[in-house]
Amino acid sequence: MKNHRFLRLFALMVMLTMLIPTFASFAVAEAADEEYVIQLIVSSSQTHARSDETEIGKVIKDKFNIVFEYLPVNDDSEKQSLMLATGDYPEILRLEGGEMVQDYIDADALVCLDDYIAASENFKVRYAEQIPYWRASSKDGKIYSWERYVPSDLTNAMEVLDIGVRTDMLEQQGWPNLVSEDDWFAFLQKAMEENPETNGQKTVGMVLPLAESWGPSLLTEFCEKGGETNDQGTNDAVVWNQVEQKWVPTWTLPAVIDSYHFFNRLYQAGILDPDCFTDTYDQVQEKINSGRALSVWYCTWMSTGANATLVSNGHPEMQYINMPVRSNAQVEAGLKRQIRVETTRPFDSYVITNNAKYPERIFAFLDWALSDEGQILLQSGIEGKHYTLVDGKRTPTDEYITGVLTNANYSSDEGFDLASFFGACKQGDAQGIAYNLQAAPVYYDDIFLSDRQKEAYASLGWDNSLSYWLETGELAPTGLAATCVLDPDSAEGKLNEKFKAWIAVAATKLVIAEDFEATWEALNQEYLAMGVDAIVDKYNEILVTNQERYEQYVITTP
Amino acid sequence: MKRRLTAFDVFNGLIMLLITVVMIYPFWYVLCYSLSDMGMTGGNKLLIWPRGFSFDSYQVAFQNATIVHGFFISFARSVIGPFLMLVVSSMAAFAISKNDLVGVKWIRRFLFFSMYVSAGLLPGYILIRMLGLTGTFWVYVLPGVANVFNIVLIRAYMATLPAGLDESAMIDGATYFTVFSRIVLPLCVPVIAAVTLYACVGQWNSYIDAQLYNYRNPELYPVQYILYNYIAVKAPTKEASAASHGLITTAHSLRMSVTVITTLPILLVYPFLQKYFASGLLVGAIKA
Amino acid sequence: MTHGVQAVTRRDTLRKMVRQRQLYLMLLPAIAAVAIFTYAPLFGWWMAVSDYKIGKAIFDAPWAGLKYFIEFFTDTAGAGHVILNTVVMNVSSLILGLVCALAFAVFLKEVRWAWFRRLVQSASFFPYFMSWVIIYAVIYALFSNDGAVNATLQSLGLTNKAINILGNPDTSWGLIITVNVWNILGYNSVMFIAAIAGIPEEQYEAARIDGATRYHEIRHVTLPNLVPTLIVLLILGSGSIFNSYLDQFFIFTNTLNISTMEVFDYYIYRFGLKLGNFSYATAVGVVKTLVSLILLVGVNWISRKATTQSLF
Repeated sequence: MKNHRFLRLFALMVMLTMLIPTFASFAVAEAADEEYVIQLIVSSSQTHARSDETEIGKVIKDKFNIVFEYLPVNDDSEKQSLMLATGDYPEILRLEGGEMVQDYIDADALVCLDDYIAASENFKVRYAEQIPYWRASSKDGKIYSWERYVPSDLTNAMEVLDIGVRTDMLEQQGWPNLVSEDDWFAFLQKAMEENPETNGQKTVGMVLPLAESWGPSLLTEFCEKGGETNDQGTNDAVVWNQVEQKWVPTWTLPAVIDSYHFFNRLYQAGILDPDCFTDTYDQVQEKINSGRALSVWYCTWMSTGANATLVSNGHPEMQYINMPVRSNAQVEAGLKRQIRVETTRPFDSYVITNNAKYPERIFAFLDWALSDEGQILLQSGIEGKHYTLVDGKRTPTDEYITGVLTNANYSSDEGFDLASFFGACKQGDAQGIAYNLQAAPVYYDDIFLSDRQKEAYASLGWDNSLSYWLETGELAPTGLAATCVLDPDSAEGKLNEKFKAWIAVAATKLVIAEDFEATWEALNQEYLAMGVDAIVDKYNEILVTNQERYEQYVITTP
Repeated sequence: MKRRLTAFDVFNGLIMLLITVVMIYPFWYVLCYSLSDMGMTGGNKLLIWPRGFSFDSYQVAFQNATIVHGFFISFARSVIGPFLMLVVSSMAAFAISKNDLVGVKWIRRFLFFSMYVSAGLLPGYILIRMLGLTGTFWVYVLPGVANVFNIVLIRAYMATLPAGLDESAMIDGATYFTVFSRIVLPLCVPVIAAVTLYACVGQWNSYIDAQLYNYRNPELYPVQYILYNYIAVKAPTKEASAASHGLITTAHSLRMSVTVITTLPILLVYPFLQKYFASGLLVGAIKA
Repeated sequence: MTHGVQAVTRRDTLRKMVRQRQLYLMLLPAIAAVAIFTYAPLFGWWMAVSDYKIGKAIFDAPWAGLKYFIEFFTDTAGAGHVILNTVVMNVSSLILGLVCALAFAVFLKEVRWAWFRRLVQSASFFPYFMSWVIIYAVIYALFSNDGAVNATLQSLGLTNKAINILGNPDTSWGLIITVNVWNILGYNSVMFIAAIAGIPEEQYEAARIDGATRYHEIRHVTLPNLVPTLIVLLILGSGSIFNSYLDQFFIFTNTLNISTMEVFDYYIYRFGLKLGNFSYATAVGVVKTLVSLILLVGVNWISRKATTQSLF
């Protein structure tokens, strides 16, 4: 009587606890050809909850009775290892790196694809080049994963990131064809003097996001601008020598020293943004969007968004274009540039897990997706809607072009995002036109460059936006380089972490040094004391091992 | 008793005004930024009013179809969570405030040390899975029902109450529960209001539980989690560059608007709780 | 004889416990929740002394002894400046944060106009809701080389060289402590405001009858009533002085200020915690738990000796 209220509360608690199981979802038995809903983790915010709400998704639903449900989750390797540890992973998964894949294999969490591949029509053809690499990277030589954006060909996947520069500055100085570091230095210095302010705000000469964790590696980028190395591995103590096919130390590479020296010159002359060390991606984007920054180092992809903003704010003349840069020594030597083409991309691996209800249906869909027909649907869309055939060649429709140019969510609205789970191969069809029409050079310049950008390239006397690099570069497939990874728990792995921390600080000191030579010498003493050669040796040792394994599978794979 | 306005009052008022400005300006900056036209922000001019005017970033945020449902989930957890927490924690606080309770010392230590003992992410996750809580709404509220921090705060407050209040009632034949609910609890209103505020804020702000345990159940995403995905997007690397054609709104102004969207509702709750903080209100009321 | 006394006391205790059964019943939900959600997962500490293989059952992991503890101590050897940074920033933030919140609550009470009091109180809570990314952006806009503050100072001719406080080793500690105090002021002050609300009005009336001024009221009535709350919050906070918000330091640490900005959690994250190495992570967790408990017991003991107040 007296403690009724207390009892009631207690009963409420008990009832709440009893309710829990009813909230757990329970599966209904499904026949093998019934609608199959598969959850996909998508990292960006999706505008749709299910794939059959999009045009492309509807086609897939009709053909395979498969629907994808999107989970907008920020997945990273931490999340991936937690999912494995608790067994709480979806049916299809993206995994970061060969080691993570191996962890999943060791835990028997993945579906082995070998049996399916033997009977596949497209998988073994599409991935003929990759399959031996994939076999070489798993302990038992079997295949458990596939990767995004491979295979790729140079014409349809060329990515060159040098310096994004404001076109009105180029115009002001009579459209100079800038290449060498001296060219750039003189150009930026003059531009700064003549334009101390932009739209009432202080002008900055060059911006880059050094406060990002990957920022400091941007300071070494001369190593990829011409010569034997490219920037494979620059986040570590080593860098990849493409010509000799081996790993060499980063710090002592002449191009890397030249690179630091270039930034030192820019900093001392007040051209490099003095805030660059505390700039994250956001601050850099802000400076490009407003046009305050005369140039942006390496992160030229940021200028896409910035150009749209500049146009909408009434400054179309300021739009940025990508232009080449080389050290003075590289200009003099005139060596070809090693343009990286990724043979494999282990950090973008996709797997089918043992939580999959119908792995055979997933693989059947994957195999179809990797066919010409599949890649065209996933990347080019639907004939008549997104593209039409003109003389047998895929040509983007007006609807598609307008969509891409005006709607930031166009790809996700139409369902193009599914492609990334099922190959998104950076290749062309029989006519050589990229599956992704936005990446096809024949259309890219015409359609996706703004008028101002076209005008700029014409004034510079270029045939197209990539002509400089096509003339001066050569294809550098990453091959085995991408398969070399240090065990983070090994002595070399730990040393490498220390080195990364050290070089980030050392690079900063070099850039702001008043006496570059003396500072470099002092830092070099610290460098020598670290004994980084052990890392270089270890990398080359891994390379040899992987080479042997690779050769074994190249022969055995039909 | 009314007093004259003194120099102290004016000075104190000015200091408080200064504090208000320091506290509100950053939020004001965020609000202005989120409403400004793209490309007009940043730079060396103090932002005291939006430059240009545009709702673009809010539009982008609300394009997400699940966001309204997310508000509903957030609201539900911000009401149910604090309620259950209050019931469980205030009862516990009352019990451990009794020094003559047999074994109370050990019970206090048992509760108290739990605040600093951490088993790590993984074992907790495994346990939650074993209990069948993953994929349910209850995973948001049940793990937090016994908030020891709040138990300690409530108990410390109870310790300041005049002693002997409840003893006389017990002699009159009241049970512990009646004493708790009729006498002690009403006197604890300020501290109850304080911990309720903490609990509401905590529930409203949390998204990690959704990220860990309910990521496969979009119907259970709270609004903070949906929007967290906008804020936490890691800085794109080279790989992310391919997809960025024609991007109209940068992540940055989107983040600003997301901050406004998630903060305003919880700030609206505060004024409702404030009357319970009014000084001297309660003891007077009890006396009367 | 003694036997009989013991039996009597035991029976008395039991009888007392039966009489107090309602109290136990009221404790039950809290005890159960803490046991299940906090103590039960401690089975996971097994991972710290075994070679846990991710994806396998925890108790199947083979014994590894103190391997991971030794690895942890080796990794942190030579990280003295990191410990110093952590302790300086966290202890100062804790003490200053609470003292400022206390002062704020006291002076807020003295504000004459109720509407203004509420406005200030609400305003003080705003910063708590801003994520560190946003806070960084605001500080950047104000205090970078090109920021509004430096621009204003330069245009007034007060300085000729701008200082970016986000990238300066001399300003790291001050920056973090100030930002933390600012961020948590409203949140912390809620407890003090609640405590002030609980002070019986008679105490003030009695003081006024004795002719107390505002200063005397604060000094002799308000402050003494707030000391218990202050001590409780100080003890509660002392257990976490080695913990930092990783989110915060990810964004505030850069290559210019790393020597004074790097904190323990960030350091361990960079050099120790290899992804998926749960054994190592658990070993770190065990060490941190032990350190926290030792600190707590110590601070609680000091508090009992010094103020006769303690939590347990």
